[in-house]
Amino acid sequence: MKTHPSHMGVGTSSILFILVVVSLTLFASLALIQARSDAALTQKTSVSTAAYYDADVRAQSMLIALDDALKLGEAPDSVDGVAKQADGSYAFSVGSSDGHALRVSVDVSSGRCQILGYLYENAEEWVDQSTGTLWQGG
Amino acid sequence: MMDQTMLRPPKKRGVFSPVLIEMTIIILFFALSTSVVIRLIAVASTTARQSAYESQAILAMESVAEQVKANPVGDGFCNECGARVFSVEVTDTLSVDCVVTSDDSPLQGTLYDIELTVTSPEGNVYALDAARYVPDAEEAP
Repeated sequence: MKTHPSHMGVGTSSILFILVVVSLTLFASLALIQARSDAALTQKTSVSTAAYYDADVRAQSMLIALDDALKLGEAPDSVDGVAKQADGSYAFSVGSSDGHALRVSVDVSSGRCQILGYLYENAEEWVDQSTGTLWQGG
Repeated sequence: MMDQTMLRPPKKRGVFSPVLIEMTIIILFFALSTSVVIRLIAVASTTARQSAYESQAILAMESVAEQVKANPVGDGFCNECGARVFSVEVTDTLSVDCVVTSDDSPLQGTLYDIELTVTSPEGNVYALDAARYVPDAEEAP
């Protein structure tokens, strides 16, 4: 019976092994990087949610202070942070820790607060930046 | 002249095949590298599972907070401490525990303090606090 000699020389399996290990390490590292970026995003969401509800709680306290002032016959401006607007309504703003602000405007003509606006918006100014290396067209 | 030693077969020298040595080394290194890779994958899996749970918990707490803020009185059933305590089951492993306490000290209304917590199966606790001020005029039918 004729035997055929193997064509696999020494080193072929090493090359295969290196390829397999590199691939496994690459995929495992990518999975870890993805998981960590997901966790970071979740953490950001958690922080911004907590910041919103913290601002909301403080805004509710401001509304209580305004209502109490109205009940006691005091001017709404006497409450810290409350300012009269051009249209006769009153407004105040509550800052949050993530750069947003909760802007509340109220009507006090009926002797108690009636909310006209309750907006949670970005409090930071837009800053013009150089376009850098962006393609300008043409 | 033939003696006893000459009749013995010649001894074979202990020669290992180079392929066999290479395969042995490869198997050893493969075992080592696989243990490291499996550890990486396990850490990634745990991190992904925890962040997915936290994300679900935040969404669930926000949802319950808004529901309670819309109707802080609810069924009106309070425990002996004057707090409304209930639990909202979102999934089999996720339920939001809620405690609503009312404060009548404001002159023209009631402040409802809403405390929400979610405890994960691993024991992590996620909490969210909210509040709603309801003027007396709104409570009147």
